[in-house]
Amino acid sequence: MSSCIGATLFAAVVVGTYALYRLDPWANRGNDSPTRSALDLQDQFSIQPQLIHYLQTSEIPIPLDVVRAIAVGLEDRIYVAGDRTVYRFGSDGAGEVVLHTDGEPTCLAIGFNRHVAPGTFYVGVGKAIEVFLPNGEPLAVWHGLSDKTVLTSIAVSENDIYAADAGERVVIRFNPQGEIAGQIGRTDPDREMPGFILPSAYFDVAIGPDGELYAVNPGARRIEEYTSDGMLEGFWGKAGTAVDAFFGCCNPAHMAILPDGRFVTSEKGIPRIKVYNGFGEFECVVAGPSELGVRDSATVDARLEKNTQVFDIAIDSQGRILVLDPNTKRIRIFESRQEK
Amino acid sequence: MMWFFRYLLPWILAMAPAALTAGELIPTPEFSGHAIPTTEFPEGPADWRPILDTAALVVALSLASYFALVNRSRRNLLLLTVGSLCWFGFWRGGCVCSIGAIQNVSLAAVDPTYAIPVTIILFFLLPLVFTLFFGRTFCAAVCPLGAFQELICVRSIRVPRWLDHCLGLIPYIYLGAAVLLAATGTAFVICRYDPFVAFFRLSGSANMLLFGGCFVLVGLFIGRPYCRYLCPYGAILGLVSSVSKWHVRITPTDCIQCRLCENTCPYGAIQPPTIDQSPADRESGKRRFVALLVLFPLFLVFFAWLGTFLKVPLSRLHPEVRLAEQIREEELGIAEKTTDASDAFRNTDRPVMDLYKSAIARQNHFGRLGGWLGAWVGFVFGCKWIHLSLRRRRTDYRAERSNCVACGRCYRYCPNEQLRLGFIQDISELVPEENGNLKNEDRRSKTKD
Repeated sequence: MSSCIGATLFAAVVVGTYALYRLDPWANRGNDSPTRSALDLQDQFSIQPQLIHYLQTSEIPIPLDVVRAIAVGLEDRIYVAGDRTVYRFGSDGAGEVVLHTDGEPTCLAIGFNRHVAPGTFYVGVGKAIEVFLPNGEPLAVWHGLSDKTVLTSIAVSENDIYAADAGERVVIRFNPQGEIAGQIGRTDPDREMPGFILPSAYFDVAIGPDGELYAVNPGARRIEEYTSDGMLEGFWGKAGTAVDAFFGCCNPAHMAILPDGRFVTSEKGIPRIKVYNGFGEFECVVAGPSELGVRDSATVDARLEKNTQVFDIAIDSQGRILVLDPNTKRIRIFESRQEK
Repeated sequence: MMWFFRYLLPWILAMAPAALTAGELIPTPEFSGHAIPTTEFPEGPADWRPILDTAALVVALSLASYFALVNRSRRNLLLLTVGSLCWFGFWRGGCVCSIGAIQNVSLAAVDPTYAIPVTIILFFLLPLVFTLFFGRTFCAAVCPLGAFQELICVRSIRVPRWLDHCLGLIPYIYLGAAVLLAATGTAFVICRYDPFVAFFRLSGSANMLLFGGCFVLVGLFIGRPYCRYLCPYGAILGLVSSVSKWHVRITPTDCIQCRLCENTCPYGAIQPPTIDQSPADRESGKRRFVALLVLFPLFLVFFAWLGTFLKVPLSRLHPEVRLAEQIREEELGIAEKTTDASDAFRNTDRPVMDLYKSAIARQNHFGRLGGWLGAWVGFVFGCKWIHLSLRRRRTDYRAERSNCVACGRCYRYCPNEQLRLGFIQDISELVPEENGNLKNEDRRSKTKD
């Protein structure tokens, strides 16, 4: 009997010691499962070459540490906001600082020829819009936004300035004097306005060739058209994994409109820049992940901080698509293969 | 109806997987009309719960002391043991507990920014105060870990004295390591390696359950293995109990040295009367004692030197050092994959060299602390040897103050207790006359440790 007890105790000590050795209180060994959730997106990362109708023709390095937004101004000059400045590039690629902002800029727009103040800079900085003359001199700072304001995009029409506020989930319409003239897109069941769905701080607005306002509703994966008084005129866009749809929780992240009224969209997650016609029908791809230098990968890291490949876009008068690459700190210029 | 089951239902079932694969990889969330919920913060534990726990501890300690010293009721102690196991063990999940409170107190002692709850301070201090007056009544029927082991000790075997003495040193070493690791903010190892918490919470990793299961298996045959050979709080209580004002006695009156109790303690805490030493033995004992006193400082220095070799293994328990090692392996391409900690570190933009320097400084700090831990171990070993070399005079069978957990198992074996309770009319009913008051020669074989 005593030998049985002794053997039992010996076995218990051995097994217990082994279990103690195998204990992983700091979870260093994990649980033998993949370290984190991942989606197999090999198919979505690879884009059929025949769908790509654009070609990168040049690129311009940006001497800034952080690049936030890109815009095209008068005479097709390219402007990039970042590092508390707005940087201007000439046609030869040479650049200069044109103005300094009070804080880190988040979005940028420049008055075009038919705007009431051509060449004026509108820079979203924190919870205000800083306005600068074409020569870079400060003109005004438009306050009056809420504490929750997160400015993500600015667009200018002939007479108005529209600012996308991801914090309040509305587009704010300013008059040229900086007074708030209205809000667009606020949830209103009486007017059957579902409102903007913004799971993340990507909320872009743009002005069409005829002055109509387009706003991305990323959570709904669509682009909506509004009148200047906030009536929803229409929308297009569908969610899905196919190349003609918008993928993920909230896309597109950025949008621009070609001179002929076609749309250019930029998606995050799986970085894809695509062209849609004026009816929202898919036309072609400008650049996919490999063209944008994003590592071809079968998986996408679900963590937000890993998804840094968000490419802002702008269009010049020749229809060239300017892509702001935050990873390489470069402006990638794409031109249509046919026109080329 | 039959048409539905015969044609339509199979078609629906066949199409369902196709619809899933042909559709979106990620189902489209429907956000329309979704109201973004306001951020809510979970409420902390109710204010009354720590008060209730503390009150329960005071009541349990008071009852345990009363049952052990005044009432002398093993049955009541057992009932209280079950109650404590249910309350502090299963209902409270083994936390807060006095054993783990050592770590909170240690950290609070060196880190003024660490806010220690009053409840934890009380859970640390109250058993000490009660032990100072009444012996280890906390261990008897209040500690959930002790209660668990008390209830499963069904067939105890006697651990050889030499092994008991050796294993009995582990709690002091564990105490030193736990205090060191807690005070440096490295880890609360007592909690992480608590073998019974998985049972209390009815959940735990497979290895944790296996580890706890082995403890249970050992506990069936060896009384209270955790209390005797691991518990750091038991080590402190043992020291305090050795100077307690009152303590559990085997007999309610005078010991008649009937020897009925000498094998009843499953924890080996009953000590027999000592025999008188010959002058020669006494002289050699004195020389041994003086030699040990002289060697004692050398012990400390030697073990302190040995402890400095713990620099690397100890420091690896610290999260910053582990992170630095992970980052280094990633930089060298040795690590196969990143960890959440290393990803988080890289997102902070903190320079890698800065992390390395901090980790090296911390490792050197652990080198010094390892020396202190080694000195502590040397101190424990030295004290043990000195303690063993001391000769004490005992004329009765006694429960050793530091080891006795006041469980009350020995009461009913004492004829005087049986007499007190009225179970017998005369001691001679249990003890033949010749067995009482043993002669020195008969005891000699029983008293050599």
